[in-house]
Amino acid sequence: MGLQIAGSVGLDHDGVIRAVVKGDIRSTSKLVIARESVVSGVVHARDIRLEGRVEGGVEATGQLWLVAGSVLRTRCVAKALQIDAGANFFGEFKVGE
Amino acid sequence: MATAIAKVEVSCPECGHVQMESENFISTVCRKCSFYFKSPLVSASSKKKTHRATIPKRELTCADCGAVQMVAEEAQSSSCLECGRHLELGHRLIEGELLGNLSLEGELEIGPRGNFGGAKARAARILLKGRASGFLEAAEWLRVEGQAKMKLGAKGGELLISEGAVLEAGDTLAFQSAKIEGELRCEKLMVEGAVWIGPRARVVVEGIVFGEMTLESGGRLSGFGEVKAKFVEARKEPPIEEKISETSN
Repeated sequence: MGLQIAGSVGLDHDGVIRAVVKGDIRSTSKLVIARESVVSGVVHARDIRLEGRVEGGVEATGQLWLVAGSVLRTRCVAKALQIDAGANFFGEFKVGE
Repeated sequence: MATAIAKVEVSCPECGHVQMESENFISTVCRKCSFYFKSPLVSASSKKKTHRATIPKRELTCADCGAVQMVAEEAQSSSCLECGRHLELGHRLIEGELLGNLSLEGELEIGPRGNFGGAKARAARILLKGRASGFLEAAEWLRVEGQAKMKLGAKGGELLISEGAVLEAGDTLAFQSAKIEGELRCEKLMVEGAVWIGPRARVVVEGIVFGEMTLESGGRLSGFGEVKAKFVEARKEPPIEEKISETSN
């Protein structure tokens, strides 16, 4: 992974993160955290597809999708959730609340 | 006065000697050559084949030793040919209080006012509408309807919680898969395979461990969770544009 970002990232369009981010990510739209990406903060977005690793938790106002090979720690907040076999999650759930 | 027995003429099949025998005789000996022969009427009727009704059978696996045997479909009980365990094959409905353990190969229904008060109940299928103070084991499925309570836990094949149903369990629920359309409150839910949580479902667990999960929009889940680590072959990933459109669905 070549790109490293120290600090928070904001997006107002659909986006794909392919980087090591040492901070939070905020998006008002759909977001893909690509494979091999690592986010040490919290990811906020409408819909999130997680392929990489997020250490600080995710908060999706829409759908959250953890694909096989993805890693999520700490916290999982979403309206709808799909966790594929082979995904790795350990933390608190708060879905649909 | 004794009635005279009707006699018939019988000829010996060996020497042709004719002698008189009772008309209902079954067999006799020729008084000339001592040849033993049967009545032609008896031998003709004995040749008729008896047709036994074919009894439909089914396979039965012993819950203790796993030995497989065939039993009549309508049989209510049997014994394992290997270990001798008594196998109760029928169904059972609990409408009041039942103390003592249960082991059925059929279906167990605990009615809305029923309470299973034994230590352990085992059945192929369990329909829970009432209460269970003991542990429940459902080899195929455990379905919950109405307001159900379990003091202890349960394990088995599939856990089904119908829409509108509520299950409160005081201990761990361990199943192969789970489909939750109603409300579930328990200490720990362990599902080896897939958990499906419907749009009107509500799940409140202290801990949930599972292989994979789908939670439909509208469904609610709160608690501490963990995906059981499991080797899964990497899937062929679609292009990024497709990924974004997938997430919007």
